[in-house]
Amino acid sequence: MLRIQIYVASVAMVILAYSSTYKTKPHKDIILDKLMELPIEQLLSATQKLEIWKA
Amino acid sequence: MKRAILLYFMTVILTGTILVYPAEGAAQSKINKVRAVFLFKFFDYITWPSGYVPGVSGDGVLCTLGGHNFKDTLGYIAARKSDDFRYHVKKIYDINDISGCHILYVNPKKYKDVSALQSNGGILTVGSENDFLNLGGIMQMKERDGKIRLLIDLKQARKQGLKISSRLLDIAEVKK
Repeated sequence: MLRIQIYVASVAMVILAYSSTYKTKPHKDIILDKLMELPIEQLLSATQKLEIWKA
Repeated sequence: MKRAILLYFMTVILTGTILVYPAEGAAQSKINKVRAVFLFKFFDYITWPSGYVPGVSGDGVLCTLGGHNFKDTLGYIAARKSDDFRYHVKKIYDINDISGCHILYVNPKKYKDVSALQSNGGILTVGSENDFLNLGGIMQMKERDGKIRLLIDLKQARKQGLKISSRLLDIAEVKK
């Protein structure tokens, strides 16, 4: 039983790591489009803007 | 009993991995998106020496040396930003294959190779990690508290024949 649980846990971790590494390419990335429009000065703190846009 | 304890710890570790890994990955992904946009913005704020000017001597070429974490982001921005003036992304694995590159994003494992670049080659070298400037790089996009800070080594920029606009210098920490 324990071996099965270890196996399932290992598979779950591999799937998790894989899925966050290889995501399908989006046709349109709205966040990137907005970032590209920002003046260079505002890009410095752009990660905080990303939070606002997501909200 | 031992099995129960082992199972308990495994569950804790697995749950922690599931909860923490995506959060850290998402944060890093945001930083990398901003860094990727910066890389293409630099084309607008740098003056290249004659013979190397993007648009005059060919399209704007952003090269990456030794792999990167930008995934498809660079290609996406290059395609979106291209109009009359076209941008390309080129992956190289050897510093000697740098011909045609205007901006070179360098993987930390390849930082030492940057010192091999010839003077007046018209290459803006960019890195993300500490020590990049100490090893001969021109620009570092450093992350601190979730923000990007730009560090520029003016001496190295001049050595490559590059002129950096005052607007970019104003928002950067400049090493003279």
